Amino acid sequence: MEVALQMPVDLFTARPFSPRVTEPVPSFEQIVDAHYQGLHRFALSMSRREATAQDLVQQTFLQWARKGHTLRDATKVKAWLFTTIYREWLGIARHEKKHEEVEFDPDMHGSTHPDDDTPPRVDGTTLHAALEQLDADHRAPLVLFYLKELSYREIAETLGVPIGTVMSRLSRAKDRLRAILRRLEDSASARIHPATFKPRPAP
Amino acid sequence: MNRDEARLELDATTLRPQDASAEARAMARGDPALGAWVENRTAFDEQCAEAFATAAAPVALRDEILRAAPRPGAEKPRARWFKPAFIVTAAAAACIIIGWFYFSPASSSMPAWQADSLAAMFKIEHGMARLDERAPDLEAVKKILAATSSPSPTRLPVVLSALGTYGCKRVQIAGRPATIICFKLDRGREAHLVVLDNKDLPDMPPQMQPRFSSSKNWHIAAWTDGDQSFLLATTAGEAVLKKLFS
Repeated sequence: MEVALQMPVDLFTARPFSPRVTEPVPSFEQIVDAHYQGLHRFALSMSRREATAQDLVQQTFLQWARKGHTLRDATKVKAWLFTTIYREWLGIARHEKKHEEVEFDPDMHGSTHPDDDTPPRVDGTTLHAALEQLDADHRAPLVLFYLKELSYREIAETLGVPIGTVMSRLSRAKDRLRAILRRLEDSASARIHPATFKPRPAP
Repeated sequence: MNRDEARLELDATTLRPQDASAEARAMARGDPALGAWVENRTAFDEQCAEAFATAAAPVALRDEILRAAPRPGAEKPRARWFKPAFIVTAAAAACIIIGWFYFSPASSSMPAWQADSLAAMFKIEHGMARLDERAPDLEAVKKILAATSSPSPTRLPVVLSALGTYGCKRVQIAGRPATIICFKLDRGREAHLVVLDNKDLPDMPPQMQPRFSSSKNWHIAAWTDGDQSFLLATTAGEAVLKKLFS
């Protein structure tokens, strides 16, 4: 009885129910405005097709509209969206058997020059062309990295891989991207100045 | 952290240097070759990020998203907190009702004024009712009661009178004004005293002789002193209660 009588004391002195999230979750429209551009860039880089990219973005926000209210931590919205769109893309890629492995081939893509002091020139079109030549396992972390939205820890969380794996994939992906860009640059030079173009010497 | 590990981490944070550990940053500062390498990588990454940001999503996409997706704002958040809050409220209400019937010492078999007194004490004991006034001892309580013409004990057992108090509360017992005084016992426990004018009070306890009884885990003493009747009750135990009359 003594123990039982203590119960009402705790009950009546207990704080009223309060949700764990103190920071209010932004409105649906605010979330769309803040993230649809980044999500679209990521989706386009992964799917390589505008229509698919738009579908992925729409599907992601549809998921958010249905399930986003279960997210307790407002600071995790961004990571939630990128994780969701990546999973959506994986589903499509598996379904369409498009999740091809485009392993980097030095003969095809050129050698890596990770410590080259003069990095290749980059513009939007060339960059996208170069990214398309990376395999998905390297392209995904690199695109998320260039979006600057997520830390490498969040990228690891989004892609469902260990942090160490993300770091090593990022490093390799950058090396490969440089090499591809260098090759594209050389090819462009050869087209513009065919007489003066000389292939890069092997390292 | 060795140089290769630092290199990997710094390479993964060129665009968000704040994410790099202090150790990795310190290694870059202390190693000119590593620092130069990071600078080179950063320049390239910034160029790529800038080029990457030039690709804009189709203008219509935003509107399509907003048009297609059901808005979660109106209903879902409410459902998120409303349901648990309702359950908590219902559970609290159920606990109060159960607690009241199972643990309240008030009983229909006892005189009405005693049942009312115990019910009022039970509320104070469990925080359902607050004291009107805080006061450290009986003298201070009496001053407050005198100022408001509330029932105030003329005479009490010596041991009880010497106890410290939490304060008092004015209540209605069996339709008449009464006062509850809360005394401090050892180990944070309490004894509650009801004092009221006993004119025409049915079932008046004996004069100057405490009548002891118990209900649930409450131990009770009731007595009359002239035109005042008293009921003293505590959950601290029978021995503790009787000691107050020694």
